[in-house]
Amino acid sequence: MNENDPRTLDCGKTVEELSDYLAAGRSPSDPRIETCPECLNALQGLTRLTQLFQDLITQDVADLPAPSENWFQGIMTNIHREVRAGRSVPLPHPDIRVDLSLTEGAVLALIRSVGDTVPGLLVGASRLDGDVETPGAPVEVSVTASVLWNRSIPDAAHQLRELICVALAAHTALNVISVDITIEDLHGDLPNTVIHKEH
Amino acid sequence: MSVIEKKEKDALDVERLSAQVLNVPGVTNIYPPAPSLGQIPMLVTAAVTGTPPRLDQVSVITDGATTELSVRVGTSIDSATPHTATLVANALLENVPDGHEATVKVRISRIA
Repeated sequence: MNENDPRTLDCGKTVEELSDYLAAGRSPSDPRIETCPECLNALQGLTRLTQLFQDLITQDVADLPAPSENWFQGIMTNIHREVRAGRSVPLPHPDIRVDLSLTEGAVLALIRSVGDTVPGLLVGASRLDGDVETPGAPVEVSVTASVLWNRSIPDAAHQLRELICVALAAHTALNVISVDITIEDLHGDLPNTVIHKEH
Repeated sequence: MSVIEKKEKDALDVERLSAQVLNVPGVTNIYPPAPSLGQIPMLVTAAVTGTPPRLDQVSVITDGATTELSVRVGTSIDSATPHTATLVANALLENVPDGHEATVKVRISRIA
């Protein structure tokens, strides 16, 4: 384990290793990955990213603004940063003998997963600002995203914000005072997203 | 071993506790504890005996008078995580023998 290596997770795996594992169809199954929540959170984000990349390269995107390689690398780096366990986000329990908490990584992975359900939108990075380890302390959520080129940006941002608010209210005890969405990029069509929505 | 000691040992049986946690609605997985120095003795023992350690279960640390139960779990996105975490903690607390001082630590590492 190397906590100083920006590409290494807490468990010692790198994003590149997980990307290779995903490319191999998660076969042969690696129990160290399949039983590691940080790796699984990363795989979930990488799966969505890989799907988008494959969709784009199989389309005629000549007239569409395609994301650059750096853009993908940036999201991979963000996925890595987010899935680390990070800070402990407390959950309430009336018995003082009990200590309940969420990992910050689980919360950020949750934000990414609900964001990726928004048609035509891909979460770039997410961040929790504030003292998340103190119950009741105000927390600001910041999320960047890329939106399908012909999708309404205000609509997509509004939908993303609503989903994040609902998810954080359901799954955390955070005192969220703001959810800031920044649309940083536009990208080509995402046919699989549309298919997924219909189901 | 006295009857009382046997009851206490049974109550804190790791396999049974882990099964109870997995039976809590909304719990999808038990994960191994985060890598830590505390695992080194277990890993050394496993290396010597050739028996792979079972890490994906409830951790029970007791000195006879004080017991610490801890578990790292994944939960379903379809269940409210605070409620699921509370049910896990309550399930573990119910197994603490009378008279024992105990702490329960539940950490949610994945919601999916």
